[in-house]
Amino acid sequence: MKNSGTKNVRKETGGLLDTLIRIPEITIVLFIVIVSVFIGIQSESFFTTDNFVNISKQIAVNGILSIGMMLVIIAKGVDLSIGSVLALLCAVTGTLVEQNAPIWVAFPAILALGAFFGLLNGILVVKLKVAPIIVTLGTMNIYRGIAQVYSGGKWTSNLPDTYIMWGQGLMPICLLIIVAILFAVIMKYTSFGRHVYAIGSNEESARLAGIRVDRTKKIIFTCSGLLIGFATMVFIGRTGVIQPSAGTGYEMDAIGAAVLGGVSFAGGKGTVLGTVLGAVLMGLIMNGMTLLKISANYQGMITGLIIVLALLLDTFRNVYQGRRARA
Amino acid sequence: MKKMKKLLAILLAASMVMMTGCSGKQADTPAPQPEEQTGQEAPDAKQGETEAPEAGNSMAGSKTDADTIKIGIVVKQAGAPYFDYAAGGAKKAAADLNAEIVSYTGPTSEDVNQEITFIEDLITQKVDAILVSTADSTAIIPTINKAMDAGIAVFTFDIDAPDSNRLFCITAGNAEESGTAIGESLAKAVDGAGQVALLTGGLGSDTLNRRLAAIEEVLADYPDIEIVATEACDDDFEKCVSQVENLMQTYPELKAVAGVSTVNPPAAAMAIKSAKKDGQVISLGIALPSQITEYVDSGIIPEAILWDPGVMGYDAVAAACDYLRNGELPTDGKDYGEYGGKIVVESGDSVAYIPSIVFTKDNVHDFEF
Repeated sequence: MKNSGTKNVRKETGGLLDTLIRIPEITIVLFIVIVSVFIGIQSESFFTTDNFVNISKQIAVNGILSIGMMLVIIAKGVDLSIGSVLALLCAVTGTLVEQNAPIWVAFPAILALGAFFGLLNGILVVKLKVAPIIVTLGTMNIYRGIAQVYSGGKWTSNLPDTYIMWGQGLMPICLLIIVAILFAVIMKYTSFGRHVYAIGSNEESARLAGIRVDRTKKIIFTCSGLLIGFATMVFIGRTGVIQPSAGTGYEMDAIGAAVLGGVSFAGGKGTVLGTVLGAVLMGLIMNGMTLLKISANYQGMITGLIIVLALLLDTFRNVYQGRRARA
Repeated sequence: MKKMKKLLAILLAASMVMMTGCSGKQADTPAPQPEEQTGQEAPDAKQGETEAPEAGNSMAGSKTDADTIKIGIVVKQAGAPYFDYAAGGAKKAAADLNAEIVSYTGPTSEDVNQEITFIEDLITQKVDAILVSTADSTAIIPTINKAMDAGIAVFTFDIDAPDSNRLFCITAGNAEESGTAIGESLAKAVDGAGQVALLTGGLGSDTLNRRLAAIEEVLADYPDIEIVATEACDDDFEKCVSQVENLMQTYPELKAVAGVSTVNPPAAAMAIKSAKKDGQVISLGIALPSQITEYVDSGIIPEAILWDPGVMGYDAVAAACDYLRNGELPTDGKDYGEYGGKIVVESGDSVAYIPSIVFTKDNVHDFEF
């Protein structure tokens, strides 16, 4: 009797650990907790409302962009052009501001234009049958070049408040949450969402199973572009100016957030929640660097180390989970 | 597979073209461009100095005060407000110094081939001096040398072509000079006491680092000013906004932030504005007037440092006249009068830097660049 009792207990604890470890976001949550506690212990400014509002504003652009990136990576692609599309959309917004376009015209126009640039990426990927990394490497430079030529390198400042408001107070985080919930639902409950995972897991089987792979890919890139439109509005609201050199290197931050959140470059794996948490972790690290008074010279190195550590932990979790599954 | 390789090659080639296109374009922002070349110039400068007088022996001092000196100006982008101010300054100098600006031309968008054509036209016209701001420091070399061989005094301004035989470059943004100006503006703005933070574009930029060092040197004389942090934003505007937000969170007593890259002051001002800390924290540093007007008006940026391209044009004409009449090239501390100011020449270098000016509420609206 006694014997079997202990056995049961052991089984239960094992069960709890098993359940926890099966949650894909567990490592990133663990890391967020560790990093927060670490910063919080050393800086009294950390656990304050003001600081959380700051962090929420700072992660919004990357958070929104990384959801689009997640979609593309799950389908075993990557979109290197997002920073350039952001720059181009900024340049177009500059014209809209100069033409005194009201925000209810500008906002949808920018979303539509973003979706259009995304669709162009998608069409190129599908028609040329070239890997997305190469296509978007090309369009990255093309879009950036157009942004430069179109704007002549000029900045637009003195923006109306209706444009600024999207980057102020709680607006950025609200937009991020809305977009995240929308895409979480799409990924989980729509056939499009299931097709994205299917294409990423095995494109050929997906095709044989009757999934319209090309069409789905075009929609994926279109979604990514649409999200860049949202991110652009937050970005402009936050910076208060329109500069055509904006967004350089943002694709790397978005990839970083997605990968930290458990999105796999092998395709077919990843969640919206994980991706957003990835963006949160990146924002926390950046916030913590200043709060902990770390010299600018070390900031890049430390960020890199934390990312590698988080990924290592995730690899361990996968290996462990794999072993449990086999046992 | 073969098809793919071909495509890849084409795409890579295309992207390289775009990249070079972009880097050329960036020269539109006048701030970091001219100074960045100074590092590489040093070894070439001597060569330039030994060669140049030889080529120009006949022209040095060939004119008298009574001769009207004919000058042609070629800029990399005609119609850009920045160069229009430079041309305005040049005309002012021409009126003061008995010279004539016979032409002020340039391609509508940066195109070195058109620049070459314009210079060749000026050679045919037999002007006395040519002032060039080039779109391509390498491609322009043979043309500059050809003009020098034809007995025309060539000066570069704003953007240099250090490997050519040009006599001298008149440009702006000497790192030490502008850094010192920022340091003094900062010390004055905080009344010599309090917490301040410094902002920079990238840690890898020699110019920006030298500018930071010059600020620190000035502040060393103010024991009550504490530099709490130096943040680098990689010239990413949004990152700079975030960093200033975090700085204000970390240091509630922070009185001022000063930036050495043109991105910094407007980004810091935006962070201050959205945190509603106007009046508590101010933003200063190197900035383009057109990008900061709203913040200067609202007082978040009480003053900013840059240079006036008009002064650059003025000093370039003054240098050319001085050379043709007296055979003298610019030297350190040379005074070009009330408007032209005192130039800075680093020893052994053939680059003259015009002095910085301070932008305030009173004059920030006068400039459209």
